[in-house]
Amino acid sequence: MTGTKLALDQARAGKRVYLVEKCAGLAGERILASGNFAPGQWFTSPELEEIKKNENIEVITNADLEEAEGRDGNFKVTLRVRASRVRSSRCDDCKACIKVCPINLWDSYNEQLSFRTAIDSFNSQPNSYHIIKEEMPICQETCPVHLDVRGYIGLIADGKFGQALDLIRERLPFPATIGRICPHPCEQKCNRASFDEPLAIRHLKRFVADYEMALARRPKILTPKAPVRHEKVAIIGAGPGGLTCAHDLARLGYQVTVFESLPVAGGMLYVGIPEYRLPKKVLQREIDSIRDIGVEIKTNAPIGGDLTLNDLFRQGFKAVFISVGAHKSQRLQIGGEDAEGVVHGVDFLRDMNLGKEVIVSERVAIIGGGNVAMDAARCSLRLGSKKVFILYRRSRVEMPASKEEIEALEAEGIEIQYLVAPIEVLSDNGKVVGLRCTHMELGEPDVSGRRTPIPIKGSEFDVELGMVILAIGQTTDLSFLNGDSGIKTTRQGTLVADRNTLATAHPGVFAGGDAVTGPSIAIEAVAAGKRAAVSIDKYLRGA
Amino acid sequence: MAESKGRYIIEFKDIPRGRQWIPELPIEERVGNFEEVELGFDREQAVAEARRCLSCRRCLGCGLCLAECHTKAIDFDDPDSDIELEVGSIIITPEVERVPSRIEARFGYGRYINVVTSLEFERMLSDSGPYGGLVVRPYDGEIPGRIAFVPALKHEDIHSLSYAMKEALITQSKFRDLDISIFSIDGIPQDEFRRYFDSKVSPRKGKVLTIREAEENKNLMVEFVENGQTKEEEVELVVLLVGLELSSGVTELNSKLGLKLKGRNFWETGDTSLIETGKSGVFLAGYTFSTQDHD
Repeated sequence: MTGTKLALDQARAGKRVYLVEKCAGLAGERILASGNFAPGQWFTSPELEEIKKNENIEVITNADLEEAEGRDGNFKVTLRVRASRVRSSRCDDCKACIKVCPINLWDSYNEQLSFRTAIDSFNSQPNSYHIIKEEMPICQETCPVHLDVRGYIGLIADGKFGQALDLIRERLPFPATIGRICPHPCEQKCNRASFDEPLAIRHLKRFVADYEMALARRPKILTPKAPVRHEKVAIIGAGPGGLTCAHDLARLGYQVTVFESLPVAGGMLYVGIPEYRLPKKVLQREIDSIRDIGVEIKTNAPIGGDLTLNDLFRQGFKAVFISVGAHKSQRLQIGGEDAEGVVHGVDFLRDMNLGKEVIVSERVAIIGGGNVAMDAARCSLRLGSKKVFILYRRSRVEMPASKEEIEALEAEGIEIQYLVAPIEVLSDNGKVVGLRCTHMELGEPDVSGRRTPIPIKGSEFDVELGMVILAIGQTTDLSFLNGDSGIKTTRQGTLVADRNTLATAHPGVFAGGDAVTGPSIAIEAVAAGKRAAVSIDKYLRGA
Repeated sequence: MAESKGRYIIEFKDIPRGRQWIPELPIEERVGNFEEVELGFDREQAVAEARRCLSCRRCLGCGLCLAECHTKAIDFDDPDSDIELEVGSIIITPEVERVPSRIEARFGYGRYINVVTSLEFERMLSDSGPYGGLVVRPYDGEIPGRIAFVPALKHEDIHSLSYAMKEALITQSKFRDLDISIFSIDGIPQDEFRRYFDSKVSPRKGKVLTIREAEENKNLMVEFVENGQTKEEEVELVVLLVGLELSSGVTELNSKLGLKLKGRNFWETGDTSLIETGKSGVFLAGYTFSTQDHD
């Protein structure tokens, strides 16, 4: 309503007004076709009537702002007008189309109180029919990588498993991996959830990937689509982001080398995720398929010591993507933290995943509420601990770990104590013997929107145990930058990169994934890798 | 399009209903080894699960309307188009939306069928709305005899109260026999209240603690504290006064125009005065910010 009033104000003052609206009709009123008025005499509000008559106002509906350039007094505005798909000059308003349309949508204009069809008519002018057709369904829109979920699920329904997998691999080189570990934001948005349960999108993705594996078929090698390009690109970090970027650039024809400081490729997928969630052979097979398209992965090849970022450019690399992840555990800052038997969750998981000998005690406490804490707890149990419990300082609502993980771990007999925080590690002769804890209560929300836990005075209690695993968050190890590379960092210890292009302040250097965003989920890193590949390609082509 | 809340309701009888659950390694077999826990769908399960997909994309391109249209007005290949305009200034009246997840659980929204938001109620009141201007209980389609307006915001303010009074006024003018209670923490001065309302509308001063549903008739028990005493009132429909937020589309608008608009809890004022945005030549209008979260 404000928009229509304003348009009239401005037009009355003698100005030329373009009234741009993203919906099919002007907001405020949508007149039902069953109105008592003859076509051409549709009654809406006096404002809307006046807008139609006022020659200084041009109404543009179904339009989005695409671009605006210029300054005060002289803007150039580009609008994208969505096709209505119904020619109003021919339409005679018989409504036959509405009667036959098989689609029933909750009508968001009416706050989901009623239904509408996919073809419908709106106010303002008679015969302003249009068809609602979106570019992508909500699952695809939600997926950071925008996988064509509806497309591959449709193929699975038809039994075309190979084609479904090809469709996934168009945008994702890790179907079997992501199909096992993704917290699936798409399923949270699935429209079927309002009906019964959301589609098991993750499991379906896994199924087609496993189907190919079970048949012992080689992963379909996706050869470069583009002509071979001679520019060399270096990628620092062989995690999901780096490998995806390498994969996409190799498909564009570039010569890609990935530098990985660890002895294995895969990043957190390898060293952070336990075998029982993601078998190493499954991950390895997908990494190998990226090697097969010509990507060179150098392990045990850290950047920062003998080989610096600037050395890479001297060696002839024309662009660099930094995707080093966040592998450095945060300290708890409490007394006794350095005692023997206090370990960090990411270090614990890394040692275990690299096949080093890891010993757990009978009673183990894990501090933290994220997925690292969940993994560390379930691993401790598998390594032989008799009693494993998780201490989390907030309540279950605030807990960042995925619901599925929490349920699985509780089923396995791990206890989660909510609203409990450690205040001191108790040790004997430098060895952990227990933990002094306090009960907490929730106060006002903090910057993250979660309520801040506050210790309850006098509620301290001691827990007897032989091992404490800290999993309260990770940061990026920035030592590889050597401090002089011209790349900016934030106070939180992340790298600064442009949100859209992922470009850093250093020309030719791009950065993405956990190293920029802080710890997040694998599919976000994959999305960053894809975005970086697009940016690097543009940069190298001088576009 | 702000259609993300849309959902299909057609049930195809031949489509499997329930979700397929993935088989898992039995719990007792998980100790002392790192065997994979989730075992994956078999072929039959995968196909059954995939067939549950509703294939959401609004128009399915089934072509029924095309076949039915006798004037040949429908053109599926009608392309989107770009328009370029040269203008001196840009005024934004931003899109806002309500976010149901921000309503506290104690008000029972989403759990109790006869608890609606003020936006839903406003659509009901509209003559061109879903029920032709009738206010009905979602549970049984009856016109309610008693309605409560309950503020469901963290910080109640003057706008939420005037909004409640506006909706109550329209309701009163349409349905003479309806009893209305308007809850507010600070209360409304009686004399001012009586200027607008007859005795069927009562102001209630006090904080609403919880709303519960009566099993048998789906009426709602509003528990509130008035003058230090906990009281309960039974109503047939609860209207929660909810704030609005700038829609998520604003992020895109921000990046295209170089602005920093964000915020929650808006009330549309219809005020047409222009607010400067920090970028000259670009203005904002139409909404007043409440006490929190804006810059």
